[in-house]
Amino acid sequence: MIDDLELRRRLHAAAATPAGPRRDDLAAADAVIDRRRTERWHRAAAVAVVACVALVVVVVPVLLGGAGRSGDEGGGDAAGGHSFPLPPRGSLADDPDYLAAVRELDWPNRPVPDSADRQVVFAGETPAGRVALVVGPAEGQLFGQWYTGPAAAAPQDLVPDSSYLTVDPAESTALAVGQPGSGVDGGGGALIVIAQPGDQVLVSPRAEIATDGTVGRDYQPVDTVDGVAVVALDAVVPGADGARYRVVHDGVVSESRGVFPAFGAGEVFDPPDLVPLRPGGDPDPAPEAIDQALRQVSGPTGLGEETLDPVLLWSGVVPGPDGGDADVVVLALTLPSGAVATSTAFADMAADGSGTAGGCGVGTHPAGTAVADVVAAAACSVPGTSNAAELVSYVVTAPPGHARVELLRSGGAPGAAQTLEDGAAVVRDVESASTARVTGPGLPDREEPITRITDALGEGE
Amino acid sequence: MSDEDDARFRHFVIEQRAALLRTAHLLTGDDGHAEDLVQQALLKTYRHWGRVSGRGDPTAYVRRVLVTTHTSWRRRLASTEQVVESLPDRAARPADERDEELLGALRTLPPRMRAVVVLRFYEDRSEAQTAQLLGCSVGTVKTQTSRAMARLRELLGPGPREPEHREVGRR
Repeated sequence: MIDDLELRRRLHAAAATPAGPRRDDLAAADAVIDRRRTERWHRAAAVAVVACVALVVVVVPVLLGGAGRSGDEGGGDAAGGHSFPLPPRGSLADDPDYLAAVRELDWPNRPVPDSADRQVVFAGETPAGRVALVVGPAEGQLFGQWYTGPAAAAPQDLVPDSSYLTVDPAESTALAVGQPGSGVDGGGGALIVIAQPGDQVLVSPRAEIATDGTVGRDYQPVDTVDGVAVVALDAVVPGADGARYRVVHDGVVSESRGVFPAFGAGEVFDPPDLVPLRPGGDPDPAPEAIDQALRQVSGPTGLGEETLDPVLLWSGVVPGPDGGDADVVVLALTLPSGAVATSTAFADMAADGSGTAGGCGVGTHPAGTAVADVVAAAACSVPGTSNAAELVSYVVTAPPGHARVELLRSGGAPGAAQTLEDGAAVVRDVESASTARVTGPGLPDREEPITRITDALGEGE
Repeated sequence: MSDEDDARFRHFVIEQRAALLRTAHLLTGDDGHAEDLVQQALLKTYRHWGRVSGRGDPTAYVRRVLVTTHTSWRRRLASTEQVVESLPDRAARPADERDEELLGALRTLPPRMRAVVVLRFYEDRSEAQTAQLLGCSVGTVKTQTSRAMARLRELLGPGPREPEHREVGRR
């Protein structure tokens, strides 16, 4: 039986490359440089469009959905959480041998329920392969473990596909699986929602930004069998995590939840190479910050870079709590509706590749907004590596001609003010601000709501 | 990109490419795909070379790009991403020099689980480093490591003996 040391030895032996690569190292480097020059030439030829359109800013906050169901519904020992009150469901629910084998599968997360006490909640075929949910009691709670595998997978070919998970029988649970980058082969993905028999399930695959810039979701009822919905998800971009669902119980929306993505659902690191649109920005921004800013929109909407056409409005630095600087970028992205989203994010990366990246929220503007004319304002909270408190900086960028920014409290009281340099400023303020007002000689004053990390697209709807 | 940047990039490629190819070979199980994967990772790194090299050592960056590009390999080949360019065929490595059993077993693992194995047991990355490279939690790395080892134990026998003259230590 192979152990860790033996595996290491064989991996090193197998990795040795007796036959040389087809191209030597210098030729490989030159091929990359030549390819990059070609890319730059194509991009330079493509960037030539500037539009001048009136700007109307409408940002509509997304409100949280229905209230959760009370814990005394749905039957079972919800308070103690020691057992699941319903029989197995799914297309394999009538295969006792399969269910017995699934109960014996590895349970990698702690605590580990005794296999004799485990119950199969769901086992069945889905558009993304076979999926099972097993639950079991441990330490006074009911824990769950999702398993996934290819179509027609034998039990032993199912792979644990979720991290630590507690289960309340009175509430639904769900998994999105089979998306690009996950371990399950196959073209499409699937969403599995496990609710109570008789419940209705509504699914929204992704957040949508309408022509007027409002963020919303289209929930459609889906078929259920014994309270389980198995829904095919269209191909989505790597990292997309925007699916949400609602459970309707006794005619009332009892739950509105996001979906747990299966392991590895699209963690692809391939940030685009962007050049700041506005002068004064860092011409070589941190790719981790760009990646984060792009994901703030591509994740909830399921739209890829090719569709969103990201434009780097500005890039620079904000102070971190440990005395260093974090890179920050402001992207403008155009949605299929024509609406424009601004997404601000930071990255604080060390030379060894470690670091922190985070979002500063997304603002939206109606269709017809010229990207070059957008005002963006975001509050970035940069955590430190020590115990220092997060440091909040306000990042504001405005079109040429604007010379000054003033922060406003939620009641309209004035806060910190600062000169815009090349149309951008990083402002520190001891109190929370909600709006940024930019002004310039001969230009109308413009006010922009300040986004924060909590302003994630379509989270609460 | 200045001539000086290009010179630094060439130096970086000369220093790192052999190690990248070895890792890519384990990830893909195929010499040709490994070379294409490394070339893609180098191109993606070069796009941000000024920033990445300015921090210090770009090695961590290119490795992150390598493993995440690999996990999306099938999708990438089927969509817009292309390998840098076509390369002439080359004679395959003699079969008796490969640990085909190991490479075959690795190929049965889902791409990201395979990446966890390679990073943990070939590159000797910690769980935290592996999680960071793959963009997932440490708990997920533990989960996938456990499952991968169970699967490999099922599939692998004792394996070929290591030639006594071969060094198998860390890079």
